[in-house]
Amino acid sequence: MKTKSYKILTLLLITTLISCDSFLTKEPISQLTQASFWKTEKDANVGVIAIYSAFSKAMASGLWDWGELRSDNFVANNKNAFDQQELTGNYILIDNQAANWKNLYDVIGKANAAIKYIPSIEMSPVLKNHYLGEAYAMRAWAYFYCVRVWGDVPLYIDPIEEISQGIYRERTSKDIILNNVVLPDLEQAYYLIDKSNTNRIRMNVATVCALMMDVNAWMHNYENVIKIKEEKVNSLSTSNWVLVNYGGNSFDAEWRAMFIESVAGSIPNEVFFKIAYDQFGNGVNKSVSYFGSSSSLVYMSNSLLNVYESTDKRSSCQWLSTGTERRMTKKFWKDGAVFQNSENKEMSDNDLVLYRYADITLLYAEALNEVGRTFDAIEYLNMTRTRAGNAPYLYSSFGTKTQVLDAILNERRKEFVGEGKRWFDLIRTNRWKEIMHPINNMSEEWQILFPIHRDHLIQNINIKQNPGYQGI
Amino acid sequence: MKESLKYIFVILLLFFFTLCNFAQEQVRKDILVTGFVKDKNNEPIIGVTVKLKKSNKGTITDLNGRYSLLIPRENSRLTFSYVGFQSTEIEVKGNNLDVVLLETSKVLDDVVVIGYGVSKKRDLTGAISSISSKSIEERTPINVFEALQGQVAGVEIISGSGAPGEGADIKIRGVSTFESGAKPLYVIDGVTSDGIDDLNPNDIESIEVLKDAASAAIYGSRSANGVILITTKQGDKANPKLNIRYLQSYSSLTRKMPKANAVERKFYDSVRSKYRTGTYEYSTGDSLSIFHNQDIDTQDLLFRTAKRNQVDLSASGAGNSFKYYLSVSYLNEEGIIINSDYNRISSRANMEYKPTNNLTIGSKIQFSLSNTNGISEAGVLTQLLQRIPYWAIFNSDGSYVPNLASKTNPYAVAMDDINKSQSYKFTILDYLEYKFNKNLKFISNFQGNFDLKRNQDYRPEAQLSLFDVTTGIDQTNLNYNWANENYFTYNTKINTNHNIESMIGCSFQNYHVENINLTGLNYTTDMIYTLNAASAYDVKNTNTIISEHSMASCFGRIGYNYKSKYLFNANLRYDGSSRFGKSNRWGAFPSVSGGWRFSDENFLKWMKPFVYDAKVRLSYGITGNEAIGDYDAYLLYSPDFIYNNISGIGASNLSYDNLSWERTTQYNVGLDLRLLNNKVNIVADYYLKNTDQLLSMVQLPKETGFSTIRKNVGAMSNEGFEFSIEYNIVNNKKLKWSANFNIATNVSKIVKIADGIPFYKGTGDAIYIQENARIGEFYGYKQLGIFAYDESNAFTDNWERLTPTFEDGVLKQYTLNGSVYSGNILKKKNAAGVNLKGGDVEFEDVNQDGITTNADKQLIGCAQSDFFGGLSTNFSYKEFSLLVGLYYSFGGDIYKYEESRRNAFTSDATTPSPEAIHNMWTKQGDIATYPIPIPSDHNSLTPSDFYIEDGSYIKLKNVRLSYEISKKIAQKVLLKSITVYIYGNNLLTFTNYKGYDPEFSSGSDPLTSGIDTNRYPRKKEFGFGININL
Repeated sequence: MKTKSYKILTLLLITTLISCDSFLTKEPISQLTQASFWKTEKDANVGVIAIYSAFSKAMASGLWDWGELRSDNFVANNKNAFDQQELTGNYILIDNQAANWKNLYDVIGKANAAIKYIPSIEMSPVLKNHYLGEAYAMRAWAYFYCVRVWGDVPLYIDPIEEISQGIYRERTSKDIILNNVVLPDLEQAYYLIDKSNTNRIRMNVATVCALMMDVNAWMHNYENVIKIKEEKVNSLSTSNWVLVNYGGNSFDAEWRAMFIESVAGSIPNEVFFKIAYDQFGNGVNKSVSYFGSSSSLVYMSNSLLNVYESTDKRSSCQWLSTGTERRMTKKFWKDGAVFQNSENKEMSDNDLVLYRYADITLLYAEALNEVGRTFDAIEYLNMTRTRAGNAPYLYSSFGTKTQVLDAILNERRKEFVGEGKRWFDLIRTNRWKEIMHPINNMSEEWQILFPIHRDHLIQNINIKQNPGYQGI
Repeated sequence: MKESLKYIFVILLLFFFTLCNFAQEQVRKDILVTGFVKDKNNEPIIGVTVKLKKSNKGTITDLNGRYSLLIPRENSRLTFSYVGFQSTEIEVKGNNLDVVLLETSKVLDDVVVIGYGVSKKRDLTGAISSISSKSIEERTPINVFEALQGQVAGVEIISGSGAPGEGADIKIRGVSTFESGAKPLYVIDGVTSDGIDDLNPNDIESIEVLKDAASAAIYGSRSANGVILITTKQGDKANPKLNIRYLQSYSSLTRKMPKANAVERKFYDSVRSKYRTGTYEYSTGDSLSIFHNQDIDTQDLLFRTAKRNQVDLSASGAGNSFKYYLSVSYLNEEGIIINSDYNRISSRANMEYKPTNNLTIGSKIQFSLSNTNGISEAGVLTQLLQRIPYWAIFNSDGSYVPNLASKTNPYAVAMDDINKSQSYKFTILDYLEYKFNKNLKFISNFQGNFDLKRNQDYRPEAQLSLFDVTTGIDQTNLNYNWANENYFTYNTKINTNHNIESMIGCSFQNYHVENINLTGLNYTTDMIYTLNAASAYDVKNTNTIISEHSMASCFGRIGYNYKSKYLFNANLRYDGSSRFGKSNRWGAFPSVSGGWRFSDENFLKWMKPFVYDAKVRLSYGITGNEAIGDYDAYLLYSPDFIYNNISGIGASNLSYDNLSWERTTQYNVGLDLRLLNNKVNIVADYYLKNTDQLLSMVQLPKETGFSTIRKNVGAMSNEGFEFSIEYNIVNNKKLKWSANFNIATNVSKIVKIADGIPFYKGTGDAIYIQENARIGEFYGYKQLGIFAYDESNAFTDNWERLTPTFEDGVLKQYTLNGSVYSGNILKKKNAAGVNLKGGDVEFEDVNQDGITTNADKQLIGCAQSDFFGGLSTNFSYKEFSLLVGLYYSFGGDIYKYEESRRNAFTSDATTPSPEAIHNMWTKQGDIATYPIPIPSDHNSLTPSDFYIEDGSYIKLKNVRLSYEISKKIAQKVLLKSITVYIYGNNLLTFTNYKGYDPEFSSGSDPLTSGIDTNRYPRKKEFGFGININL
């Protein structure tokens, strides 16, 4: 008995020691590891999908926080809308949600991984190039937002996979990022992307072109803006990408069709890029709480209401003309009154238009005006203006280049309310001081940039705050 | 559900009665021996086991201490044994044998359970506290936590809330981790277990709390928060029992919170409208509207007197080769808020069989099933106090008023919300014990835990906010683990004076966890809460996730003592876990301890009359904590990135190969003293716990694309002193009186945190975590007061306060210390740079820049208590016995988060407390304690010291008066004994705290405590019961 038990025990011990290491190795079941991902065509696709998922979170409030609220379009609700009050008042504290760049860097991180791993996947070369092109363009887009909002920002062009890669980086000059990352990425994307692809809720060739124009305009390379329009945009198929001319009485329905999710599903050809939201998928955006709900966080400013001429069909397409605190209740939703009505609830998950052809025509007009081709500039300025029911501007209407620029900016303001453009327009054209100073005393150069969020300063001591703002 | 419970119950009952006569044995007729067994005071001892040596024959003494036994022949030897008396063996001569039994000195033989074995209590060298079944029963507890509270020095138990079925937070010697793995390790009969929520306290024989590293380190990487060993009951040959217990109790709210009535609310409305719209009046439109003209006390409406019923049946006994303990218990507990309750059925079967003298095999099986019907704390309790008192609860047709302005109707939510959970637990332990000889023993066991938790939530559409859709949640958490443990023990004595005990073994454990989450949307009816009524599913929150984890360990112990005078003990455990990076998979957890019984030294013999027994203990050891995610060390890609109906896959966790154990080094010095002929028993301990390599989620620079990573960063320390004294004041046949007191201090300090960067934690970011500070420090603004006039906001260049003086309501001048001031005047500003006015809160301006910002936050309190403990006394006279138990905690602050939100004046639909309404600023010149009642970013800055309160308390936790009906009467109705009792739990609380209850837990995060979010309030309970022993 005794020896037998000892034998059993010895046997047990030996088998134990051998099996111990495999016993202690547990592979994840509900997640993938590095060894099991980035292998197939499908992996490439879902890897790129993750970039858009991150981008949709960045745009959920960032579209307006970064691109519009600081301008003269909106005033904040005086109760509970503390972050928005800071933005419309242009005194931004360092814990404002708009000062946080996490979501944009999530886009960059996911894009970096796609750019690193997709080339080694064995798959159809056309698709491979297209996915890669999407990733390059999305990275460029995210960095373009970063430099416009914060100026210099930390630069990451490889995915971070372990801490030892150096994660406490300093900020890199915005010029280096624009010249060495954003522009080359867009070139790459234009080269790689499948030009026949017309998916409007993912990256496509038209959006790459629009981005190229926007970045060049931001850098005041107006020659390049013109070149891209004339060489690249003009070569796009007009059956897919075109400024739609809404005629007659249907302007209201057709123009709004760009912003309202239609059940039929076809997005008007003017739209280049819509970021998609689904309440039960990637989540909601802030459009309802910002503009639509009965106590919306922001109201439309009086100067915005007054900018429209009485003939302009766009004004009645965007809000109801009642009430003193005017809310933008119509632009993104089927019915201006839906938010009062619990029977037919509207989710805050409408897709958001980020680029459309109107942007191309007006950027082009701006560039033409800059280089002195005023006559052409006015022609392009009139495109959106006349389709909205206004009389066209004549060459004789203007005396100076600045007057034309003012008209273009006004037209952009009328066309793109709620599309996250106005603030960047004011900065790009250096009009921020003359427009914002009367409203909220904004007068200092440093106020153009946003502060860097307190969390970023705490989490990385190599990040220094933008001048003028409080440190940690 | 209830029907099937009943069914199970009846079956178990039948099963149970068939077994209860198992131990009866027959005796052959030979010689009849009779006699009396008495103690040294010549009192008969009832129930003494009288046994013929080397046979099965035996009997017990009757009420007069008399026995009679047939034995085969003379010159046989009889043994007499009874609990608390020394067993005596006497040779039979003739037919009559009277015996006097001597009481045992209990100290010498008391045995406590330690990890993988037992030890004599007097030979302990570590800090172990033990609690007997008697002191558990006396507290009439619902769960084990209630049984433990206040009984053990250094063990802080705070029940989560008063909700029925709620567990508790248990902290042994403070917090020694940053994350949620702060629970101690529970070991029930050797089976490691996640929780003890559903364990029936009446099944417990003893609880041992292993507090220091020397005791706990044998459990290695899971022992850093201490270990609680629970031993369940087993049959006793001398004492076959069939017990029936029943109790019923009534509970109610300990006290109501002040809540504004309609008049107060209307006054508030009018002041508010004056400053927001310029009209100084209250208007709700229709003065006849039923909706606006009520005055409802929601507390009266929602709280009730709740009943609790509990019935327990148990049978235990033993034959020569067989022991058993069987029990079944049913508990039904109502909550003091309507429509909340908990019921539990649990059953246990402990069986042991000894086929040969060397071999023992056994099995312990526990099953429990519990149902909880909860309420939503946010939907009910918050609204309970905040709801506008003139808002109706019912429509005129009797239906519930729906959600208004995003405020739920608390009564409707309590009644109609579905908040159900079920827990099914099944635990099995099979073991085998083989004795090679009297020294060497081999033990092997297999243990399995199966745990299934279900949870369903649904809120009817009428109570949803405007943009919400009906959402039904159905979650299942399936958890099973198995383990195999094998160990040898070798105990020997050399020359009777040298005692050696040793143990060596190994174990393997595998854990499997499945989480199933289903979320249904857009229900087509409110009458069905299951997901078949949903029209769509929420993709993000509908998923199943499986994870696994394994551990392999070797462990050993060696103990030596010389005449129990010099004691030495050493443990080592070597643990491997799949959770850690390959390079850090294995960790060693050693401990050593020693003791010196100086009372046995010859040169100290002179102390004997006073010092009965005295021992110093010293221990040192390392324990660990591995409570992290199963795959935290891997670079993971997860399909969590949904876009356009596709689940995108992206990196979700950074790889970190160096991830390792949390390591706690603990030193302990202890003193055990028994004085005055063993009447006084003192245990005192001092300890120092240093934890390093703390596992913590570290914030990464967001530029990396990742939010956090789990790293070993940081260090913390716990230092404390524990003292307990037990005094048997009187102990004789009729009168017994003993008292028990314990006190403990513990200071938890943060020594190091990730990159030294302080951070905020907890609800409302109230807790500030920084190096070289205590855990639980509240950081916030210090409220200096409310500016009486707009002109009161005036200061000199050095920020000295100026006093304005007025003439005909117009500012005349400022004075400084009584003299007119004509210098420069500074004004304090809010964060937006606007000057503060009359009615605004003045916060202390720490950095003296005139602007109230984050930089002005300072230490405003600390949640850690200075000392805590319990006091209890047992008094018995003849058949009556009385227990009184107190629990106290002193020095901890509470941040009244929910109260600060109620009084923030931000939302129209929130009603402030009456105190705020009566003391708010209403006009220029008001000397107020609360600001002007309009929404203001500045005035509602939190946390503010205005909402910090002292949370010290003394609670009368347990009172129980019981009466044991005399044995003579009991026997007439064929019962062994009957005890009836009345009891009260949580009857009184002495505190200055103004909330519902100063005792609450703020969730599982060990770094946050003392934030009162208005959880389900605790009840006071009054009840009665009967215990019958057949």
